[in-house]
Amino acid sequence: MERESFGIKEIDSMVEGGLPKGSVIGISGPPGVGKSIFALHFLLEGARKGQKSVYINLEEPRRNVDNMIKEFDFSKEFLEFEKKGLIVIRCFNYSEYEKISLEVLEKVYGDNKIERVVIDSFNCFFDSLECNCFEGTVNIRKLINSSFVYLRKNNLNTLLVLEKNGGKENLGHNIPYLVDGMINLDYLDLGTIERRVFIPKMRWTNQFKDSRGYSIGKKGIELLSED
Amino acid sequence: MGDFKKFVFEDFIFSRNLVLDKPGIIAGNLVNKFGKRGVQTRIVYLFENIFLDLYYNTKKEIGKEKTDILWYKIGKDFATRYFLFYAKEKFSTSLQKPALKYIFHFLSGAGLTFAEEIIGGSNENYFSVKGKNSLMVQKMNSGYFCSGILSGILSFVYDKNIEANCKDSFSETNNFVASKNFKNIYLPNKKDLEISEDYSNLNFNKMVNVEFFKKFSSLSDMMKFKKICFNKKENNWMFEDLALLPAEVGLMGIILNNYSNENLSKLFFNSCLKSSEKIFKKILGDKKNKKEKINYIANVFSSLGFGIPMVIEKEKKVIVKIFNPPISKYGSLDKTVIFNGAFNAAFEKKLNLVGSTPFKIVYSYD
Repeated sequence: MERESFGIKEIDSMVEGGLPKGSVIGISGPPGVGKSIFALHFLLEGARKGQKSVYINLEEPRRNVDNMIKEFDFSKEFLEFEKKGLIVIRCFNYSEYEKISLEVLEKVYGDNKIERVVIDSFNCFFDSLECNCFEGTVNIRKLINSSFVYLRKNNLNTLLVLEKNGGKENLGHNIPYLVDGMINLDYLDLGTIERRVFIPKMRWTNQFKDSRGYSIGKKGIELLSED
Repeated sequence: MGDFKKFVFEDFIFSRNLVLDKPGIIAGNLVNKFGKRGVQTRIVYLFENIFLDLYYNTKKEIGKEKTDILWYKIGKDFATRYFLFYAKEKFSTSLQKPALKYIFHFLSGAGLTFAEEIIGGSNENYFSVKGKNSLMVQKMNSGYFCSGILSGILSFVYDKNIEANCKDSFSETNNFVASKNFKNIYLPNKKDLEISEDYSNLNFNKMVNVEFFKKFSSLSDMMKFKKICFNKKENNWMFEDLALLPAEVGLMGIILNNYSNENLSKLFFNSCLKSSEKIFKKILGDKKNKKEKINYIANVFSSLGFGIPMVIEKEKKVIVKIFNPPISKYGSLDKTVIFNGAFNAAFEKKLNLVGSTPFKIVYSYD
């Protein structure tokens, strides 16, 4: 099975070398745990391999995304790739995205050079559409399924950032069942923060069953030695 | 075990032992197959080193023989209290042996693996019980605590006083023997050990449930983050590299009671205080920030089932408010001393107890 690197070699080693090519992977966790930083590693790795990568951010304005990128040692390289067009960053708010979501995905699908896509965050957008009526719920489900149809075309390697909303365990809308893999980032606040990564699901893969500790520093996400 | 007996025992009477945990609270719940609510016990995970240090300090004070008898009584009281929760009626003859097997299997989940093979039991004249050596027996170099537990179990199941003795506890395996013909050592006072009527009410029905408590760690959180795990090789629960003993909340009270009866309560408090301080100094490691240390300790206690401690420092006093504390009829001094040691380690000061209830402890310092 052909695999694509996540951009963090120890994560790759937890899943037999990387995500299965063309799969849709969810990355979930509470706020502030490093999901967007994980996404940066994913995009950077694609660009390093000459793959065009698209980052759709629905949570933050562009300046916040820039500030996040600049925190890390790889920022210069990342922004160079953006200048070269290998990384494309698009920021929308929910009401903008609501109007154009399928159009955006159609463009992504239509551009054969795009090999990696990140949508950050994927589930909160649908939560914002939710209404207390059956028809509304059905429409949201249709929108999610249509999104997945586009994402699965053309062997796109997709990372969907999934926010755990306000402590709720349920990510909503059956998304964990739709994705091909789930990576969970979590933390325990014991005075100092302890972070761990869990991979409960990865189709077509004999993934590492245990969790690994990680830290966030100048190099982004680094997995800790288990010794 | 024959199929019918297996059905009656495992499926009907003791089909499931659920451990329910949330921040501050760990509950054991034995439920039978047909959904009839069983008995809930409030469980705390105690550091074994506290017992080991207490045993050794007692041995220094009063000698090995008296210490062993004391711990035999503690073990027997502990087992008797356990049965007073779950079994109000006698076991019928046909269920006695399967009951024993089941009980020892159940105890092994708490790290007490001393009984894997039970020979005898067709009458109460002689039992030989063999099993892997439990950590506490090895480290104490004495099998009296576990002998007491065995005696308590056999006495209850067979409804006669059966004393026990440890033949060999210094190798990898234990060998205990028990018989109704052994000379009487100790008869527990069941009335003293009985569960108070408001036990369930105080430990489960009056719980405060606030969104903020989710911030604190539960047992399963600590297991998820590998702070607490079950060491299969040693058959022990561990907090990092410190052995834990899960026990019903009354155990420390039983120990204190037995020590008080021997006029050794001062020894109990001094020993537990020093042990707790040593343990928590180790757990805190090289943390420097006081707030971090207090937060860490609060999370440790929360995950071990001691309730959720909120700490306020004010005017040379340290006030610890405990939400959803584990409560037994033995009061709170036994747990207060463990908190004392922990907060001595966090504050790097000697905190003196001013007063305590299960819900609030006040310490002062100079």
